[in-house]
Amino acid sequence: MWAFFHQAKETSQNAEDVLDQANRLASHAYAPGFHAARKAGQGESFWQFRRYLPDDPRRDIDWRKSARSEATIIRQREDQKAQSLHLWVDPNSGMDISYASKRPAKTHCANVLTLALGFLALRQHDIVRSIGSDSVAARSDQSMADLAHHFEQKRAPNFADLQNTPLSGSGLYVLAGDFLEPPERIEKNLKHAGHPDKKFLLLHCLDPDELTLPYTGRVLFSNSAEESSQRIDHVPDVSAAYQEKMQSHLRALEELCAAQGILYLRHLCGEDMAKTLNAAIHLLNEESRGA
Amino acid sequence: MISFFTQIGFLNPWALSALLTLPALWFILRILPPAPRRIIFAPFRFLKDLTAQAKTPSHTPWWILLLRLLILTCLIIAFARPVFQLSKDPVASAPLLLILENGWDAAANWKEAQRQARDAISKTARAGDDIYLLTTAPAPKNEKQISLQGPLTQAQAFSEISAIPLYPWPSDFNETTKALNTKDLPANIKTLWIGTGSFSNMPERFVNALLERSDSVSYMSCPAQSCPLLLRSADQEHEYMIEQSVSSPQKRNITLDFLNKSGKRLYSEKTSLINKRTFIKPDIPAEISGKISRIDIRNEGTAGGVLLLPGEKQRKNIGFISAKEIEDTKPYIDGIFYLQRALSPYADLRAGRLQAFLKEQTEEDILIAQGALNISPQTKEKLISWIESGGVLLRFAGENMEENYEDALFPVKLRSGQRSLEGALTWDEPKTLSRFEENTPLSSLPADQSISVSRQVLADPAFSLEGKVWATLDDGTPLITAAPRGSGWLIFVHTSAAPEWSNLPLSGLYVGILQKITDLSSNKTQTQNGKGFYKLSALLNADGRFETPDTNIEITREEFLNAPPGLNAPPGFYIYADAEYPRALGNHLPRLTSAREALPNSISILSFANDLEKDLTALFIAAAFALFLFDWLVMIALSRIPMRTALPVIFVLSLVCLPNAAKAQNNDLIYANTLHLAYLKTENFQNNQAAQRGLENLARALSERTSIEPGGVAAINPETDTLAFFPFIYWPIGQTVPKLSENALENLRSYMAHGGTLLIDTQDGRARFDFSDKSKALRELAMALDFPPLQMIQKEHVLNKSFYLLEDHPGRYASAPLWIASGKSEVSPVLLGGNDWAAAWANLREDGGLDPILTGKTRREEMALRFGINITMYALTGTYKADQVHIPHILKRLGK
Repeated sequence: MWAFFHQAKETSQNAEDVLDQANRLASHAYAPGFHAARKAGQGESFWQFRRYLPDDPRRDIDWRKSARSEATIIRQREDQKAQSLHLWVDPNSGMDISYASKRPAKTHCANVLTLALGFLALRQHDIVRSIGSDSVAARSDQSMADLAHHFEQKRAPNFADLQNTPLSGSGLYVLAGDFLEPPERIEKNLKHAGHPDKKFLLLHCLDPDELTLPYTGRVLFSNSAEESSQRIDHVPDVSAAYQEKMQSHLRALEELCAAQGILYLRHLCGEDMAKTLNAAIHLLNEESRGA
Repeated sequence: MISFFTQIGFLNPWALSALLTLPALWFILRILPPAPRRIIFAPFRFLKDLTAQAKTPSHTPWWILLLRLLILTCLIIAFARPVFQLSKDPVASAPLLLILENGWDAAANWKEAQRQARDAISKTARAGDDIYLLTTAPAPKNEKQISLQGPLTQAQAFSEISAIPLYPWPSDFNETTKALNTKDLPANIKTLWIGTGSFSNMPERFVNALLERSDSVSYMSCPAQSCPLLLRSADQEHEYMIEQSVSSPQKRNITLDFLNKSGKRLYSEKTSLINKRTFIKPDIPAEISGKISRIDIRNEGTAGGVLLLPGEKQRKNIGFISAKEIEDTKPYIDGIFYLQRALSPYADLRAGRLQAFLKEQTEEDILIAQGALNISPQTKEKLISWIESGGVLLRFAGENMEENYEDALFPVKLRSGQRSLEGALTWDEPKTLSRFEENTPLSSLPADQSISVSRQVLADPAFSLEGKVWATLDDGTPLITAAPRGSGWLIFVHTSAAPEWSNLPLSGLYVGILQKITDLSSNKTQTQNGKGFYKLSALLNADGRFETPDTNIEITREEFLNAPPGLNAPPGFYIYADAEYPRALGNHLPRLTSAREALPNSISILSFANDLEKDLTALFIAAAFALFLFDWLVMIALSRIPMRTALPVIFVLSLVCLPNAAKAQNNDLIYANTLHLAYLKTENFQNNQAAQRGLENLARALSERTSIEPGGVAAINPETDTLAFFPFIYWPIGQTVPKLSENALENLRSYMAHGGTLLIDTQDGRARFDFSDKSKALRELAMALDFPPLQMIQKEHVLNKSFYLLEDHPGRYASAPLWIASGKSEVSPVLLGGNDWAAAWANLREDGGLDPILTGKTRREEMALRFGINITMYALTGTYKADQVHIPHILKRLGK
């Protein structure tokens, strides 16, 4: 009982820490609006004057302007559309492994980065949602806490279940995880990605140790569920082979993203998260300008 | 260092063969790999098919290996029972009779004797033989008598030896012989006699019995250089003799300390000993010599090294017959002013009416009267019978005496009128003192010619003055006359006690005369009770310290003077007819004989052995344990066990290592379970000691007289301790009011606010709020502690009747007022006084020393104890005694 409460408390504390960190991160990020529509519409700001056409609503007529000229002029405003930002953080337990006491776990990095993007989206008056459960959504800074708890309690769907999860609505989809599964399976899980009004960003969070395997001596490795293990008698012997395997996995993943039109960004835990966040904003801006 | 190792022997040498297994152990430890590190690794998938070509040589660091082998080595050596300085001689397999002398002379080297005994016991026990034990000094009835104990095991013998008490009298070899014959001993028994090197009575019979029953006898004692010393009085006054049984091979330097009754050192003298007897006549200043009550050989620590002397005389109580209180008399004019100053060194002077002195069971030894007595015939009868039963009446001449001349209260018949030798109408010169008559108490005083008498009352020369005159003026007229009356004395000084008639009261001779007369009264009591018993009041124990005797020992004068010291006549102070008499060991023992003189040649005489065996097993086990702990710590550091796991273990270990912390809490438990009297610890050590002892005495008095039975005395620190357990807290403030921290103040405030009572004692006999620095500090303290308004205690206050009915509240002083909270309804949270009660409770003497001998309590000490009892009652029962219910009882006790 006590352990349960303790855990609950710890989770909640973590969620708040993450939220706080994400908020700070977002507030220091340079993020010009990343999705202006550039066409006449229902927005607030002035867009253009135009001659009245029979289909136009009469309340758009600018009478003062029309009085000064011979034609009837209407005033158009720029179209604005509230977008949705959809977030997902991989809930698998491998994300929680902390390889060095001074480095945060991958889950932490993923949470902070996604939530920081969420805060930025809120500044654009967007809605931030969690993939898999639409009810968890934030329209203001205050309700972001729900999202943070949601991720901290690992209520997001597993990566394998993502292909069966209906992705409602258009907008930006940010998927954060370590993506260590074989590339074929990753491809299968990302089958939604080809949809034209959905944009995907893959935030690949890795620990530096997972890249280099920097251990010495005899080590008994086991997987995150601790169900199988492997003893390696002299780790430096195998680290070159391991790095080779890892690099090929990363290449395969990048190719896959390029093919599917998915934006890909890698973050190594322990590195500056602001840098990664800025890179993400940059990527998204490029993307929207390109589109 | 090397010699240390060469001197180690082993009792189980075969166990050392286990050391041969060490290389094997080394090998095993090397091939057994340490456990691999475990890492949970998310990209485990990538590692699946990888195998390392080379294997990591799995090694424990060499120094950890060495550490563990060292632990094993220590354990193996411990099993081999290492012994330092193992005796080389083959262990003679024979049972051992160990004789351990425990008389007065054993105390000097007792620790060493015990060590020697243990050594012999462990050697014998190792060979598997029985041990028999015999002591030599007779024991009091309620303690273990001399007996032959055995056969004992090593452990039994060890515990017996630690429990042997030492006695302040010599060994009794007759008793020891009897005890020796109570048991059959094995035929081949060997005897080791651990003695002192000196004999004050000859052990011939014992030696014969011993030789008869024992195979071989060796006598072992300390070297001559440290043999026990005996301090005796020599023939001349102020000359002492130090005796040792053998002459020293080289100079032995000792210091004699001359102490007064309260144990304060007044004088010390160094000397060095070579011969068997050394005489010493220290040049002690005369004013000190009278006060010396014991002489110690410094650091000797035996009863023989202490010589008791009669010491200071007891203070006398003297009454001055007067209608006035002493406080009401005029200084420099009234006679009592001079008398009080002359008598104050050795007597207490009290003024009062004659009837009052005669009515109560008077403590007064001497009554002094000046001038006319003006008493009724009945009172006169009483006075005469008082004198006849041993009182001394000292009268001085004065005005208006003529109508009294006929009464029976003068030693000689007086001529009417008085002679005036100086004045406007006289031609005579004042007469000077001529001589003190031979064979009178005053004859040893010098006749000071400068004493001149200008007015005197003359004795009638028609009657015989022979034998009655003690001092004469140069014209042959008597100055002091005296006559025995019954067993008392009538003494008349023919001039006045004040200097209006002569300059005698201004001279030192006045003091001398009064002192001699005061001594007279004590002589009287001695001769009066010629057939009493001498009762032991303070026992000199084997260590040369005073103890309160637990059995009632009374001996006759004959025994007191001549009996050899022993169970029935131990050394110490005896009370006889209200006076104390010393009985020192040295003055009652015969000449000391050395072991060589006293023992036959068939007994081999040895000195204490220096090379005692020391078992090192425990040392090696401790070393192994320490190394093991170190290994464990290293393991913790290496395996990176998180601190969260290691901390509880370290915490438990530190708890084990810090028993003091646990003890502090235990104290609270003790204070909570039984009532304790408490005082605030101050920075002054003497103050604390006095308070401790004072409260201990008070606690004893409470247990004896009331239903309060305090469990003890607590010295508390307001900073840290919980105060709630104590009904009242005594705070001896001493010279300066201490500054308390805010924390301590808060603690005290809450104590006072929740029903506690703080008894503050300024210990200066004043406790008045004036303009001195101390008063200022006191006032600040009162502000800081939120004292309620205080007032001087009123006569009818409940504190004055909570157990005893009290008039005043004396301690060492009696003059200071007692301040108490002005509200009557509840117990005052603070009492403030300055009478230094702790000193009175502790029987503290004027010079500040603690009195080692509990002499008769003075009235003031008794009253102080009563005050202490009342305070405790008041703190515990509150205003219960103020209830009207008690009034009839109180009136009854007041005799109304």
